[in-house]
Amino acid sequence: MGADDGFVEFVSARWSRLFRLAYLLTGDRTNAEDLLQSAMERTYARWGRVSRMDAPEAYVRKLMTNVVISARRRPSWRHEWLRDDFPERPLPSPDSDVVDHAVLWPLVCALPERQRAVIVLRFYEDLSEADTADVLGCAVGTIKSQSHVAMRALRRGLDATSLNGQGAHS
Amino acid sequence: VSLDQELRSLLQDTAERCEVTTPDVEALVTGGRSLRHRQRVGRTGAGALVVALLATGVGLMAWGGQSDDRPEGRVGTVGPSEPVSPSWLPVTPTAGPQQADHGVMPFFLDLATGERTAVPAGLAPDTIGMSGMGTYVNYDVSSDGRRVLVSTCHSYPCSGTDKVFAANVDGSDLRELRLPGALSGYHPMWSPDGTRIVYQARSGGTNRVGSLVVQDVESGRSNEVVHFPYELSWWVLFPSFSPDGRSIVFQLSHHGSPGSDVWSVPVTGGDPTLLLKNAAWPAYLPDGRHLAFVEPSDGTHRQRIRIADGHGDRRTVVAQGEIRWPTVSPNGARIAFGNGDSVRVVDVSTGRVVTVARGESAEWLDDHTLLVAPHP
Repeated sequence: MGADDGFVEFVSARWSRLFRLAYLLTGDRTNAEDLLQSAMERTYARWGRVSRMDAPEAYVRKLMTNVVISARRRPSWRHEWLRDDFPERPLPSPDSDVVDHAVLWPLVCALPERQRAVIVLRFYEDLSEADTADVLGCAVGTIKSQSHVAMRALRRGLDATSLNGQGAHS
Repeated sequence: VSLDQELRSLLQDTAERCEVTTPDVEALVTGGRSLRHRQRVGRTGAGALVVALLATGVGLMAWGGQSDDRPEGRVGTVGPSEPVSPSWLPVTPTAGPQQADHGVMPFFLDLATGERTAVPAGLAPDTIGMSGMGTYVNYDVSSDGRRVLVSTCHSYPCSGTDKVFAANVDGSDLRELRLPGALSGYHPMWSPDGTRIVYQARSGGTNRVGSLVVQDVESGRSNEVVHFPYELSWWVLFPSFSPDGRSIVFQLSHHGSPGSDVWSVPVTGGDPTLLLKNAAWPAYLPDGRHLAFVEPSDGTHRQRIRIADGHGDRRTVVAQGEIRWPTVSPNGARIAFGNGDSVRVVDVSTGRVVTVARGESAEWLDDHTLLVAPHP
């Protein structure tokens, strides 16, 4: 098998799904494209090995998630991966008993990268706590605590916005 | 409705609404090959480094605890040099004004009317003894539009005789900058207030990178803000001041592989900060909050001029085959660049590109006039 066999087909088949994941991890289309492009280049560089894996897509997912998290830790990447600000956050719909996505999405974006990654992997990728821990390279207990802290932050954020509106959440 | 359910719904909806880009598979493969090459070189380099450490007993000095693509060796600051007095020597041009031979001689180009005017003696390389095959000409116009820096850059092998000149826009008051030591000066750029210039000083005829030097125009006092004690195959740094005059932004090539990164260093010296990976040709927009650059930096496939805002947001202004020498107009509305054949101008807000002349590069005299440099 050649070093590149199947890579183009892999990109064609998985790009959309992985791009959406990258977008949820970064909150920005340009950063998402950069993140996925970088991850795919790394994947290509090791394609001989990655292509033999059961799920090459999981390899890319792990790469992207860890780049986003490590970008937060590494000062040299700050200029490239600072989170977008949302200075004007919309208020909840006064007549709704459900959470307005226009309110919740900025709150998710405002989470620290690791917590946000946990939320995205658990609720978008539908990974178990064990699988999420495997992607992030940490213990299941860490995932539980990160998830708990993130959910608490989201609830507090919703409460804060509700003070100016009448949205509700449970 | 539980927050869990809301999150699932939100993330699915947001992901579905996200407009997915089309993958540039060719770029991915090229980037992946470059990375694979770098990994191989890195492994070889790591082995050589271990041998070197064992042989010399010298510890590895990590710069800020990070290692990828950072320059080898200690990058430090050298204090102010003794002033070179006088700092500028008057020069008399050797020939009269040239004909505007498009693509051969430099000329002013009025973008509103299309009128072309030959540059006066003093701004043309052959009138100051700096012409020759393979010679790139660089210009930088001061922010008040009155003075022009003229320098040359000989393609490899370097002649070692490259100099820096300054003249009024009309060619009068031509002077040669006295460089500290027997060094060549490359890509000089004015500070925003016109009192200093920054350039790359290096010994000619080698691939040694040399130093970034900030020099006071009147006193001649120079300050080496960064020293690069090694060789690179592509050693040109393309430094320029930030609009507030406090820092210098420059590009630095990777070791052993194509491409470069963009760094910043205070004008007073100190450890450089990595701003952008895999980026080249940095240039601040006038607001000082946005930085235009070219990526990918290896120049081997489709390149883009992008603008970063320093807060994670980047947007693409234009995508082309090859992009060289981007320069931002004084009002920041347009960027001129070369593609190896022509000079083009792109509108920053709309991305509309216009080919304006044959030539290598162009510098903005004002928001509507370019100084077009010929092909080497």
